[in-house]
Amino acid sequence: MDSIVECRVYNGKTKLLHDKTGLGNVYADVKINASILNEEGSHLEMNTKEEELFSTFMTNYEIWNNETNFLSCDNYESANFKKITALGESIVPEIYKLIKERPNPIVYALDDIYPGLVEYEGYVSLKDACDTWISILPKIANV
Amino acid sequence: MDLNTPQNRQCLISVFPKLGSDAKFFINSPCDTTYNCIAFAMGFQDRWVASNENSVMRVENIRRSNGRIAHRWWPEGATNDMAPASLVEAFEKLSFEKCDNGCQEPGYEKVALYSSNGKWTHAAKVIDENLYHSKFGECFDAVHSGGDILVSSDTTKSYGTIFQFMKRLISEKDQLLKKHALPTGSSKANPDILAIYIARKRNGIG
Repeated sequence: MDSIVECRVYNGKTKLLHDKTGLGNVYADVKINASILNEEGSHLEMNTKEEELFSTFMTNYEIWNNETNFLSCDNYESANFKKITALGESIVPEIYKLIKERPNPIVYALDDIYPGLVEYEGYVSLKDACDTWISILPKIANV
Repeated sequence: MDLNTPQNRQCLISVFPKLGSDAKFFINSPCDTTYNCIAFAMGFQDRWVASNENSVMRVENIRRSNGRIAHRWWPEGATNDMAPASLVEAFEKLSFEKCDNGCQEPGYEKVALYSSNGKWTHAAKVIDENLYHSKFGECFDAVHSGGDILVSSDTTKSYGTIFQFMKRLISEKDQLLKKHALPTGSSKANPDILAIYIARKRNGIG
């Protein structure tokens, strides 16, 4: 299938532009791996499917954060939280990165993605919940 | 470290526009996901105090075996929902009693409870008659004026207005906080069923 793919390199950043109109419904299944040399001679790699997934995740995560970070309750009722969990295991590496940075309420998306995997007894601090998942995820996910 | 920067201030003003013209508005501490406004008003900085029933009803997989979110603490015996009266009950479990206003009374500390659209939303410490100290969700804590300063045009974020003032004897505070101290060493999530999960995955069941 023909498609227009254009690479631009500027300011040390690589932008991969692609015309998805010609791909129609199969776009979601297209995976493009691009590898080019940057100024230092090392490879820059992109994967369009992963880029799009990451972008979808980050968009929903930022909206969810913006909606709920001043709230004490209802943080998990947001449609954007459900959009995050609907992405499933594929976004687990991104969640893993976030909870490693600092205790983050997004950790509860993991309970939705892996239902019943972790059980909680009594009050469990956000940090302890994150620490538990940080110890588990390398065993079960590609993080 | 100065946290009262224009950027941080704007973060709160963008949600609560009236803070922009509040001469008392001052950001005091950094963001902290450990505790929230209700905890802060009660005197805790080691837990997130919130009803843990209502919001999880529609998120089945976040429900634990006992039907609650793990990092939400709610005083035992207080009605566990978002009704304003339930927040009053929660504070009563911490020895607060209802009072008529936010004026200082010797020997007492006071809090202001907020509601919006029939749900409780927020609690603030009353430092003086018109000087309050709030923790904003998982973000900063800040001092600000009272009244309707925390109303937002976005009803999903608005803290609304004060529906109840409460007070507690300062002399009772330390004893109460000890009574409600979190058990040490037991606040861990239990990943014991991990082995079962991995076995299921390997066998194509999970």
